[in-house]
Amino acid sequence: MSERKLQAWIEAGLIDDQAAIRIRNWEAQNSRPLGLWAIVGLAVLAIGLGLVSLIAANWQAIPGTVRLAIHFACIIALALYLFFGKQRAEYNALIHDGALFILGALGLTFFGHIGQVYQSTAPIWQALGLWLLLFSPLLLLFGRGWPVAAMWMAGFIATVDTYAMDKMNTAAQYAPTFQFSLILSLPIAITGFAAFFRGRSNRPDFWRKLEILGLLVTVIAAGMMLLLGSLNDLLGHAHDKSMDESRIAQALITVVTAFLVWIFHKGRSGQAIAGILIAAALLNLTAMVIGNSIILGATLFILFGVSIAVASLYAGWRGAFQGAVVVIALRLIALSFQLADDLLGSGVGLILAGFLTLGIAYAAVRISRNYAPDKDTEA
Amino acid sequence: MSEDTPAPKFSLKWAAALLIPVIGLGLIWADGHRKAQIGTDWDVPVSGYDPRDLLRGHYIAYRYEWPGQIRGENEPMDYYGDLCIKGTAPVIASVTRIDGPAPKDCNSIARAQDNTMPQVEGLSRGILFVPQASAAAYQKDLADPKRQGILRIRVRDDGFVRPVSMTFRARAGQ
Repeated sequence: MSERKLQAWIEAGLIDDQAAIRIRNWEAQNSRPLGLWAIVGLAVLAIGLGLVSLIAANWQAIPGTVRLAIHFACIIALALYLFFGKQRAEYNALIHDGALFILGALGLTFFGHIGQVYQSTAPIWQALGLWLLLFSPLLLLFGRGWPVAAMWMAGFIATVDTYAMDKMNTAAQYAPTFQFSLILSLPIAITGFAAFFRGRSNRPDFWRKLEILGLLVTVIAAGMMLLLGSLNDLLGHAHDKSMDESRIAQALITVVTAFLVWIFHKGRSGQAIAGILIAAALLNLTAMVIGNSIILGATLFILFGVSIAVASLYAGWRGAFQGAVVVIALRLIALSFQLADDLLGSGVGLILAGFLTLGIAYAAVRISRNYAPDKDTEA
Repeated sequence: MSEDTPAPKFSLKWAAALLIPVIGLGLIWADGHRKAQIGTDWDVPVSGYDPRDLLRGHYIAYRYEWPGQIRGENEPMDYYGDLCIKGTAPVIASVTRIDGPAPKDCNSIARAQDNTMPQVEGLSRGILFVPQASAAAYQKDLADPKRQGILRIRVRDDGFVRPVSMTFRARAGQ
């Protein structure tokens, strides 16, 4: 809440001092310290990356076993701090989550450290998978904020991706794309997994975050598949059968996930998420048949954006609605340049594309101002 | 607001969630440490270069130049089979490919692993993690045609090959 605005309103006679105090009190009790979370998130991310760098330097001045012992002692110390800190009544969620994140980062880098000291050449997914196995109970049962939710999701995606890539590379002749695409699409299913626990946990807000991350992964994955498809066509590759297999696998996982969300996450926001998931599945399936038309590809992309905007309106998500409008506008702008391609040399096409861009930007700003749901409705 | 919900009191679940990763990491370390100590050490000539792996730091990607295993025109570039090593450790007298049952008089049998990082290819190529501070020196030595890289490997009784360290000496005939 902006103190300057409050002062201005008092001076303008819009509210009296009492109202200003009531507003301040209410804000103090109900505000989410989003800025603080962002700073803590940034800080622990920096510490995590620093740890990776520190381990990767492979200091020769200290014997490997000693380095590992120091690393392990840090892990034990942080675990003890968390264990005894938990009993303090005034325990702070920010510190708790930051410490969980750093413990997770210490654990992950410990695998790299062991591999380095003992010259292990095991594939990376084995270390990531073991990390996921050991840290999932801790992160999923006790995480509360974005840093931990994002860390777990990133760990899951990295494990699944490196596993599928490794197996695809070593599959001698024919890589069974469908099978690997199913595995690669598993992060999408986290949306349903999170929807299930959201209603059963005493930390529904954490699971909501994981559900949002899963949805984000789904939307990005579906968009990427569409872009990859058009890129394939652009490079003059023949219609790729393995691409179709990937699309079917992704659509399959997405539909199952939509069903899970529909069942476990009741209410408007659950229905909206299920709707977006279905739209993503449909996007994948229709992308198979459109071929290499620029217009059809862009239309499909924009339709997907519109469906996200509609779902956001239905559920009352302001940020998601505005994001969808921006993405649609950007795609339209890119499209206008794509279509003006042959005119670009003449200058006329460039001018037209410029004016169109201004028009689209104006319309996007108007739409996202006037039609976006109010800020306070929550998913 | 979940950020403000009071943390649950002492619980077995909390203790277990913290103990699982700590004990798990400890066991993985202990097992890795134990396995790294056992085996017979051999010196193998290698050639290579120095790239970087994000999680584990700099490593030398090397190619084995097994004594007696000349890569002729008709030889496959990469060999995924097992090797019979003879000699007095760490000096290798001869290396022969094992086709069929393993000979009885091998001092060590090195077996190609198939579940590895993509940079490792059987007993043809491998990697050695090196300190960042000395990576440049390794690279210079590896690029020097007058110098021959010698890799110390540790071969376990089950055939697992683990690189240990790398040294350099003047290349024979130079």
